[in-house]
Amino acid sequence: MMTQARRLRLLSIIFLGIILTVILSLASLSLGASRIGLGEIVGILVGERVEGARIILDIRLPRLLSAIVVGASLSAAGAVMQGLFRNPLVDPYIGGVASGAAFGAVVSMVFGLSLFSPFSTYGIPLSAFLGALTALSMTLIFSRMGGGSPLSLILSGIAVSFLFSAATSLALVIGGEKSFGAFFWLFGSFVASSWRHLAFTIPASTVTLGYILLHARRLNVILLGDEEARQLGVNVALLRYGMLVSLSLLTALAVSFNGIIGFVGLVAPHIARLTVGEDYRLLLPLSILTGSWLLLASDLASRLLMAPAELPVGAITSLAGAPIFLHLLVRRAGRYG
Amino acid sequence: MGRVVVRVEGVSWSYDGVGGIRDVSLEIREGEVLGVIGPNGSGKTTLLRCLANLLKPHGAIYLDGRSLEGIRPRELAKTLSYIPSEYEGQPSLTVYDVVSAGRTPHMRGLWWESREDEEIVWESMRVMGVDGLAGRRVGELSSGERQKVRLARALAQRPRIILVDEPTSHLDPRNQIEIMEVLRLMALRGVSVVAVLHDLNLASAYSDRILVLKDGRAVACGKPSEILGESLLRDVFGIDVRILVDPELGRPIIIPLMDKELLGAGLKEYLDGVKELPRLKDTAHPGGTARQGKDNR
Ligand SMILES: Nc1ncnc2c1ncn2[C@@H]1O[C@H](COP(=O)(O)OP(=O)(O)O)[C@@H](O)[C@H]1O
Ligand SMILES: [Mg+2]
Repeated sequence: MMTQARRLRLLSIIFLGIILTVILSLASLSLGASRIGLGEIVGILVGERVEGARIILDIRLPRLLSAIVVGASLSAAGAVMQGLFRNPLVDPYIGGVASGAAFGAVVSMVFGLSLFSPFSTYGIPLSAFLGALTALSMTLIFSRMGGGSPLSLILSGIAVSFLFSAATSLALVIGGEKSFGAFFWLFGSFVASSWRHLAFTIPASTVTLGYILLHARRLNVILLGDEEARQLGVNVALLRYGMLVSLSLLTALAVSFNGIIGFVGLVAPHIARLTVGEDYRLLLPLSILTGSWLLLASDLASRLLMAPAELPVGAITSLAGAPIFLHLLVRRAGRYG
Repeated sequence: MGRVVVRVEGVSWSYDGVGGIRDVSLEIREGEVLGVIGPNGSGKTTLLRCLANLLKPHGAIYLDGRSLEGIRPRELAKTLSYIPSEYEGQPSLTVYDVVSAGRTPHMRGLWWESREDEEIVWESMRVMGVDGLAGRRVGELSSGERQKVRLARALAQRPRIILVDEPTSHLDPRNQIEIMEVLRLMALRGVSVVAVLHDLNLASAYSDRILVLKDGRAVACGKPSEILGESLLRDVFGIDVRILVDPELGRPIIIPLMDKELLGAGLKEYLDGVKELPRLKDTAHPGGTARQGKDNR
């Protein structure tokens, strides 16, 4: 009966998830500097070539899809990280992964790193991925040197984060006027979203998310503790490496094209956990959906709050996310501290 | 006594050259409760971790005649269950989450437990009396309840061998007995139970055989009535005991004796000096010499 209940729950999550995503998407397509009615949107989507089609198809639709992909990727990465480290306070940003990815991306943008010239379109994401993996390894090594406690993990993650942010600033200064584009990108925004990027990020994120989802049940077992998980026949070391690579990849994909968008990876899994508990078979799908909703809504807010000017979406997520993080920290200190 | 299920031959393990176990050999038989006793740091946990194939020691361990190293982890997990002494998992997991994890090695599907898996999970919770707690978070349970949940997880695994580390530590007498009774019932059904116990009387009452470890070596192994003697316990634990025999069960009852001579010289000197220290209340210590307390007020 428990399995049956969870199965039903998953179905209703998916069902409601699709409805809410569609509603938010329609709002996102319709609202902005110019308003476009729902009827027209539907017409454009089914192929009518009317006025406004350009805005919808070339600007708002890529932007909307980017928000969904980035929200899904960062939230899944956060949810997985929290389970692997058995610490609900980590996310790709706090763990230093995103700063590493940002550094990799900036180096590639500013200096046009030739290392990946055969893959020119993929130069930025690949370099971001390497940056993310490097930062994550450093965080883990420092944390282990500091005793491996949950606190040492967070502290070393913050230190690595600062280190890579500083390196990023340095790269921007050295890059001179070549850094101008990178500078805006860093704030985090969906303005520059394009089909060319999406053609890469959608398949890559989908495959990685699928890989993670396939391991949902094994992630559950890790929550029991390493020895018990190994004792249950789970190859904990292998699973951990696979997941660390996956979450670095997801973070790198999100950061490469849309810059720094903080706190989604922390807040979305948290909301999902409050709703469905720790079972990754429910937690991962709901985190992915929640992350998409949060970014769709934040992107809308970034366009509407000070229209016609546009705020960086990263600023909005951080404004909303920081208090939630503090709340989590305080509550946790009270409960298990 | 049942056939031999596990044979341990000259097994040694050291953590970076220190501690661990040295040259331990033993047999574990079908349907027996093997109690493991020994002072802190004598290698009890290390032995269990070797048996669970979590450490790869020197020497050889055979399960049904097959070398432990050659058995795939998942296959081993269907046969053998290990319960570490402390729960180190997420406190926010529910009881159901923990117990259903026990089905992991048996599950065929990729995602959900089968109906049969779920029935076994509920049955295991019922056996341990924790089915009413299914939706509760393990971090919010009492230590007795949590220990039963962890045992239910092991039962859901349906193993033929259970290795359990200090299952009764921190528990009240009733919970201790309930846990030991379940382990004994499992043994009666043919499961081999290896239990690390600190309470010598529980070990004496519930073990078919007892293995005694000291400094990583097996110094004795046999029936409680045969090995639990005053000289052995003095040698292993460094305490004097008086041993009676339970008139009904015929098992040894061990009474540790107080002995001030056991204290280190420094501590003894300190305690001897205590009566000279100022006391705040002299009335609480009739016969005490403390008068100085009053001056301090
Ligand atoms: N992870 C470890 N690293 C280093 N030494 C260890 C470790 N675990 C145990 N030891 C040492 O090995 C010896 C046996 O430990 P253990 O098997 O845990 O003993 P017991 O369970 O009987 O208290 C002790 O001296 C202990 O200090
Ligand atoms: Mg121990």
